[in-house]
Amino acid sequence: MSLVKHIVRVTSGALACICFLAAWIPVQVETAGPEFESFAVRSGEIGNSNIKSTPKILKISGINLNAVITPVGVDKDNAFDVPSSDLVGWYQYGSSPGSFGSTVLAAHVDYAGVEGIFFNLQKVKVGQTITIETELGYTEYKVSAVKSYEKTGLPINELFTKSGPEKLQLITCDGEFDKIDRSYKNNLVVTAIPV
Amino acid sequence: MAKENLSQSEQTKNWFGMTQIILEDKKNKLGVTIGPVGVWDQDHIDKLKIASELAGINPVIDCDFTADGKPYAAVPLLGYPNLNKFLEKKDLNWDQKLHLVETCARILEGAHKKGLTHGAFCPEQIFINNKEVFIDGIGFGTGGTPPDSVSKFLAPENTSNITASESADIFSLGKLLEVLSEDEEAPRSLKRLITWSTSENPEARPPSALEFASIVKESLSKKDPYFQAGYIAISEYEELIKTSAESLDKNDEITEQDSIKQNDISFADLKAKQEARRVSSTLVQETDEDLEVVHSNQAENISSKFSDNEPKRGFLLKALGVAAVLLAITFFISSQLNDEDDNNLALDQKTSETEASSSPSTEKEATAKDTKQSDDVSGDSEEFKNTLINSSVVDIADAGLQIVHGIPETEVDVYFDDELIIKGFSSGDVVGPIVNEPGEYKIGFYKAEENPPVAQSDRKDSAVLDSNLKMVDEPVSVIAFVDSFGNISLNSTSTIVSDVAPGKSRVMVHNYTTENSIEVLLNDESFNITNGASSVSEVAAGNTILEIRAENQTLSDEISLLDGELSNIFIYGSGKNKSINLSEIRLSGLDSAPIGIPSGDSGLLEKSKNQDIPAIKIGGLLFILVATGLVLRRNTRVKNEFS
Repeated sequence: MSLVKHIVRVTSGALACICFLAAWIPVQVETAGPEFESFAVRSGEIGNSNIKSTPKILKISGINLNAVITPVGVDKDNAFDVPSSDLVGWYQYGSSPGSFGSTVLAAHVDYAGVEGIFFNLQKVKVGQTITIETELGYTEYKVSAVKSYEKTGLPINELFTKSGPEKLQLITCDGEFDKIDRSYKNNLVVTAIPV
Repeated sequence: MAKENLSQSEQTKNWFGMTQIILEDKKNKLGVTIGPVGVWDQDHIDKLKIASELAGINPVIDCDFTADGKPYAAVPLLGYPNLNKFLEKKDLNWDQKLHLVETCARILEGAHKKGLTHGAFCPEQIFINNKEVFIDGIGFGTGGTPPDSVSKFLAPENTSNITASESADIFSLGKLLEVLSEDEEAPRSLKRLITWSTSENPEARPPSALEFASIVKESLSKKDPYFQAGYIAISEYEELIKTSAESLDKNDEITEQDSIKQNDISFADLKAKQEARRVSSTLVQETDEDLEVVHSNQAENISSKFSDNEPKRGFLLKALGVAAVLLAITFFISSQLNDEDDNNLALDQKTSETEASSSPSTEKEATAKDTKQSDDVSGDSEEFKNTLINSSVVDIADAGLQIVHGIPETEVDVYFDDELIIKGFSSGDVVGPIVNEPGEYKIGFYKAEENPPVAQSDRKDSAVLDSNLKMVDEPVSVIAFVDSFGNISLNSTSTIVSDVAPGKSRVMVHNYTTENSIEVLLNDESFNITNGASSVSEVAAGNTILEIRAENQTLSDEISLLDGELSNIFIYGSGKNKSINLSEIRLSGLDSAPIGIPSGDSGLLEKSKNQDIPAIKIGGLLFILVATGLVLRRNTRVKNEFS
């Protein structure tokens, strides 16, 4: 290979490197600048906010209770639509076992002259075990409080909270019975926490 | 590119029953997965294309069908370690593991929202680069028998033959969490999540990957994310595609042996197909109403990634680049000079002719390639990353100011109070809360650039939209849209934030289309909304059917709402152009509790208690009498013994 060819190769190679570097440097200068954080962009597609595990069976061995749970909402007056038979109602718009906040179950202490499924709920003691069966298995709770509230002073937002630690709230009627209104003046609330 | 800079090999992966060909240069590797015929249909190919725009997903750089109908997809082969390597070295602490699985769940949620599923999600498919997470193989999990290392993560319904589904991916997430929890003291909520997710019944698993992510997030001790969904600059692989194509076309030896060629694929063809797709997207709109939005968005995304929206360099820069290429070619040619110089020159001439005839593009494409080539250099300095999160629900207390991008087919950079806050904001996307404090703010939309300046004052081009807005002490959503006069406008929409009745949700629909009126069907209720007006409806929590009817176009969707959620639906676009679309901002926290729990009407409990009282009294008296008797008897005995 001739000397001329060597010179051509070396010179052209060096020039190529210089040109590449020259082309590179302005780009770096151009893109350098203060760093900034993007806001989180999300798709505007319609989302889906469903659904949760559904409680099926309630067991409280301390009072020999074994009841079927049914999902319910509110009645025409926006009160808890407590089922009228021997069922326990789960407030389906609230929390469910395994999620944050309170899972709320309510049932009648009595209804149409007969004892309701929660007639003996007042006999539940702190420390007793409550079991909820869902389609996924079962969850055990330990009773942490049994308290009777006047209905006018019931901490209803707290009882139905969807945030905070997981709890189970069993609610029925309690206290003095008003024969004219055909209703009890209190609500009994049994609170239990997961074992 | 010189031949020694490019190598390729072929390997067959039985996992999906598909062949994978690997192409690599000194910097990157690219895997092209091919065939067999029928394993993916056109709809699946369309979805794979969308995957290239989602954060955290190893992007599909190109996919289509070969001439003989075999589907193919080209993806970067990531050189990062997969999760198995981290687990072997026990490099992750418990919180990092949870952050990782949460990030993966969010990435999968993004894919699911785009109609893509994984089907074989497992640690081998999770790649980690510093704090960035990538999931490989999304959309590839169809058919075939997975290896044993993967099987344990697969849902029971698809262990023998991968059939991708969202619920199967959620099962895999549950299995991943289970594996990560093996040496840890997992909280009860996560143990329950594992049980829930790995249920044998697909219907009984968590409803979405987002739900899974939310539950995991609640267990994190540190809320600041340790990992984030990664982003790969496709432009870095553009050079490999281009040089591969050139090399394949130039070099007869490689061409004859090359299995890509055997499958009738060349990357020059891929480039041409991409260009053709971009051009033909408008035709697709006319022929397929259902897919029109998807296709136009794809076209926009593909074009923005591969050519059109790249920033223009100065003349000097281009000249230097061209000079460099010319000199490099001279260098290459001179290095090859020998006694057969004449033959090589003839070969070069032939190669040039081949390039000219094989490439369907003309000078325009050549210019685009030149532009792209200079952009690839700047691509290395990519610093900006958008996080794409789908379907996020914002608590009403945090709602503040939200922005909806309702200008069809326009990608913009967004400035807020003179500062860049979003790069590449696509039509239909939403963002917020931007701020929560009442005040007057300035917002600017500019056509998206590769490297937009941070300060709005440094923008040299004219704004697509530049407007002031005022926020009072309540959540507000602003939408950028095209009004009925064809002007791009910004409008504020107040949100009605009063609580809804228990068991109810609120749906607000806003007409920002160019139509005088649109008909809205919400479950069984039908009503019209005039231009610029809004509707407010309270619906039962659960599923609501929404249908929007405008001239030449009807949209329908199902909204699944929880009690106390507000779905703010913004309708925009033009019925005449069939560009009507909708975006949702969803807020939560408007719920209220039932007013009471009436659970007794007979007074039996009181009677029972009253009946109990006499019994207790009698029992008590009897006890006292017996006790007294026993004491007296004992005393008598003692006295008798002493006497």
